[in-house]
Amino acid sequence: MLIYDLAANPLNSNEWSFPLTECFHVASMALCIGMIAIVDLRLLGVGLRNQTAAQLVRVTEFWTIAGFGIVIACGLLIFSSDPLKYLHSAPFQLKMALLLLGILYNYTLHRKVARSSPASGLRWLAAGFSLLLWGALVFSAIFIAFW
Amino acid sequence: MSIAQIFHWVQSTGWANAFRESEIVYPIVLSLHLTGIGFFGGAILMTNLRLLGLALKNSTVTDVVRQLRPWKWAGFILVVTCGVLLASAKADMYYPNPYFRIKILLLACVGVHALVFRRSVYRASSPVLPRNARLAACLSLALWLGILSMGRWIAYYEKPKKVSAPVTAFDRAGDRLRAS
Repeated sequence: MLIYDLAANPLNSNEWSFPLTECFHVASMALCIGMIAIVDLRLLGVGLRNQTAAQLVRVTEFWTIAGFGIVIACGLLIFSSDPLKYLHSAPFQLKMALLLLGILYNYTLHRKVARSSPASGLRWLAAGFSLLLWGALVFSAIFIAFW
Repeated sequence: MSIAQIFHWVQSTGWANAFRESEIVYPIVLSLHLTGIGFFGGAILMTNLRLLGLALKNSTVTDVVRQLRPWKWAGFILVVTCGVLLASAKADMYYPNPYFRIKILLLACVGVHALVFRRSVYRASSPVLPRNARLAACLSLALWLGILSMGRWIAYYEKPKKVSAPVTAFDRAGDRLRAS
C-alpha cells in the first residue's frame, strides 16, 4: 500500500522551503494578475493608451503565461504539503473554481473583447468582470488560512 | 518614549485590539494588501520591462512611465495603507521582527532609488533608452522582490526563547543533596 508521509515532504521538514515557495507563489501571482490588469486598465480606457488593448494582449502574453506557470507550479507544491487539509477547505475549493473560471475566461471572452474593440459598455463589462474575478481569487486564497 | 513603547501603545489602542481580533476585517485588509500587490505590481513590472527593453518598444520610456504613474501611486497607497493597519494590529510582534526591519529598510531604499534615478531615467525626455535605465530597472525589481519576500517571512519569525541560566556545580550539588 502506498502511504504518503507528510513529514517526508521537504516543505514540512525544512524551515525555509515553505516560505520561499510562498514568496515565488506571491511574486508570480503579481506577474500574471498584474499583466492581465494592464489589459483591463486599457479596456477601461486608462493606463497605456498609446497601445490598443489588442497590442497589450500580445505584449503581456508571454509574461502572463510565465506567471501562470510559476504560480500554479508553486501552488501544487504548497498543496502537496497537506493535500487533505486543502481539499476540505471551502475557500480553497472556491479558489480552484475561480482559477479554472479565470483561466477559461482570460483565454476566451476576455481576449476576444480585447482583440475586437467593441462598444465601450462591453469593454467595461469585460474588464470589470476580469478585475473582480482575479480579486476574488486573491481573497479566497487569504481566507484559506482564516477559515 | 522609546520606539518599542510607541509600537506597544499602537497595538494596545482600542481599534487595534478590535481589528486584530476581528475574524473578518483582518483577513479582508490582508486580502486587499495582496490584491493591491497583484494589480499594481503589474504597473511596476511593465515600467521595468520597458526600461529593460523587453516590452512596449514602440512607446517611449517617458510615455510608459507617465501613463502608469497614477496607477503605481494608487497601488502603492492601497498596499501601504493596508500594510500599516496590519502591522499596527500586531505591533509588538512586528517591532523586534528582523524581517519587518529589513522590509522597512528596503522600502527606504526604494525612496532613495526614486531620488537617484528620477531625473536621469524616469523623467528623461529623449526617445532613446537612458543610460542607467537597465540598472534602475534591475535594482527596482530586486528591491520589490526583496520587500515581498520579507513581508511573507515576517509570519515565520519566532522570538528567541529566554535562555535559562546555566546549570552550575552548585545547582547539581543541591540536586544531589535533595535527592539523598
